[in-house]
Amino acid sequence: MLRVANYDSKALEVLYDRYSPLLYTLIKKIVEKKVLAEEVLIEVFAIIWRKIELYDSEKNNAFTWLVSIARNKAVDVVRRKKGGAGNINYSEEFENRFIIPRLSQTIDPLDLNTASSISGNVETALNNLTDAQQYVLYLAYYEGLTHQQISERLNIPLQTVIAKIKIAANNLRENLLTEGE
Amino acid sequence: MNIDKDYQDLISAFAFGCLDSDEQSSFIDNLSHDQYFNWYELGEFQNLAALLPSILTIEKPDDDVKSKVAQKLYAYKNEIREKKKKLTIETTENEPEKTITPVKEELLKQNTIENIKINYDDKPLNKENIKTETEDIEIVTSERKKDELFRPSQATQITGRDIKSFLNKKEKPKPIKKTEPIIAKKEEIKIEEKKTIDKPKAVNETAEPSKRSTYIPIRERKSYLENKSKNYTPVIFLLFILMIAGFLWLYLSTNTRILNLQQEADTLKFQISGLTASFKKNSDLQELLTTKNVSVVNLTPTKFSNESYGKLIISFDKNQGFFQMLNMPELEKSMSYQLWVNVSRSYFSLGVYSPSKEGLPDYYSFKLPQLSTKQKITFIVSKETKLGANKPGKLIYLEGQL
Repeated sequence: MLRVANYDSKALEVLYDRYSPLLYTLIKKIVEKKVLAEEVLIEVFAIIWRKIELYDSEKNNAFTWLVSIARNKAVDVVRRKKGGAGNINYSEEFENRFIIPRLSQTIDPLDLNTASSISGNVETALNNLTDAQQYVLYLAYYEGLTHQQISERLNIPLQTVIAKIKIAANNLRENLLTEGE
Repeated sequence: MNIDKDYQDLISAFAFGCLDSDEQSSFIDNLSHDQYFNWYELGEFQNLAALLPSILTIEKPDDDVKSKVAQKLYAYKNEIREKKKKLTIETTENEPEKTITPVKEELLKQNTIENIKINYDDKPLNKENIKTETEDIEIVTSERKKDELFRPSQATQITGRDIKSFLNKKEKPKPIKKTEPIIAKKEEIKIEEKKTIDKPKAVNETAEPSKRSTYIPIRERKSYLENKSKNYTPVIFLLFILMIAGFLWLYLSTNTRILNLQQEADTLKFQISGLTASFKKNSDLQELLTTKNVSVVNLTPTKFSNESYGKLIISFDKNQGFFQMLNMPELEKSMSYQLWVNVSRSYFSLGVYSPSKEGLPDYYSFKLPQLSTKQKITFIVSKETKLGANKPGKLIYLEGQL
């Protein structure tokens, strides 16, 4: 990532080789169509290339940064298609604010190898959530619904949705900790 | 919804990306100004959210997508060039800030063994160092193939307070393990240094005992060495004799071999000369046979040689002939066979011949006097002395008539 940050195109190619399968899988899961997924993937790598200066190398968390860009971009595409993005034009400012993730100042480092090594634990942790918790997370993360939209979809109060997401996230974290031990 | 009031509750919603644009903007604005914001929780949830796709069945994009990405990036070349320039300028501007002094100081500190220990004890590992290391690893390992996407982790990146969050216990010690060889090396150096300091002390303090500690005293050792050198003299002499004998044997055997080879060479020379003569005779015989007036005279045995026979091939054009005798009785050393021609009751010697002991057929050439084929010509072979006789003796072995 440091080499990419120095606009080393070879490094970006390496990054593409490593991350494109995961990002493509995620994007396709969100946008559902293959061609659109490929277009979004191309856009994502263009964003990475253009906005690499916004990557904080000190956080050393390329994984979360890249996955978040791919997820945000794919969700934005879906929302715009459904007309759910309001009247906000896609601009540099928008991209910087809503597509480029604002990672926590104290986020732990994470890379692709580590993520793949604990994917089994993540799956188990996710399966240990209740169906409702899983579904809420699914709607939020993959369908790109806002908590307001989830509330409407499930016909439950907004506060309940917020609480459910919070509980689901906490339980997921706890389950993952238990799996890790 | 009152975002100002509840935004701390929206951390998970923000991390999982289910805030609408207004809520998200407000959330970002709030967290930027809140010094009590729970960044730790946000970081954990952000990582959790990012880990969700890791359980999906991975699909690879088509190969042409990569080239499309490259084309897309090429469109931004000018923009990137500008950024690159800017980056270079910033780097050069920042360079003077990096003073060499701390590095030098660090090196000076590390030159002493005690300082190494102190450094290690006081600063076992700082997070920044680990980060730098893992960043490097990130780059290096990024050159792996696509197929290795979900290879087991090297677990180098999650460190610090939240290490429990995402890794198994087994994976945790790995960053610490990395430091172990460094520590071990430092300790090794320390031990070696001690050794070099201890050595002179031991010599100064216990010089005598150290000498005595050798298993033979110096005097004894000298005599032992002298004795040893005396004992070696006959051995060296014997070796010298053996060497001379060896050289002598080598010389003699080589000399004998040379002589044998010379003899062989002489034999071969003799054979070659014989073959050359034989070849010459054969070629002369062939030449003679090509002439017009050639006669063959069969020589028959007499009472002295029952089984002997011979032939004469005569060219009257060339006045030359070839004589062959076979199964002739063995001659005494001083004796030879002499060929005669009798014309008008007069005998002319054509030559004296000694056939080979092996009894091999051989041709002997001779010159004929001018003869007329109209008259009676007889040939005889008599046994005479080596020097030959003026006229044939009584011992006639072969005879023939033209």
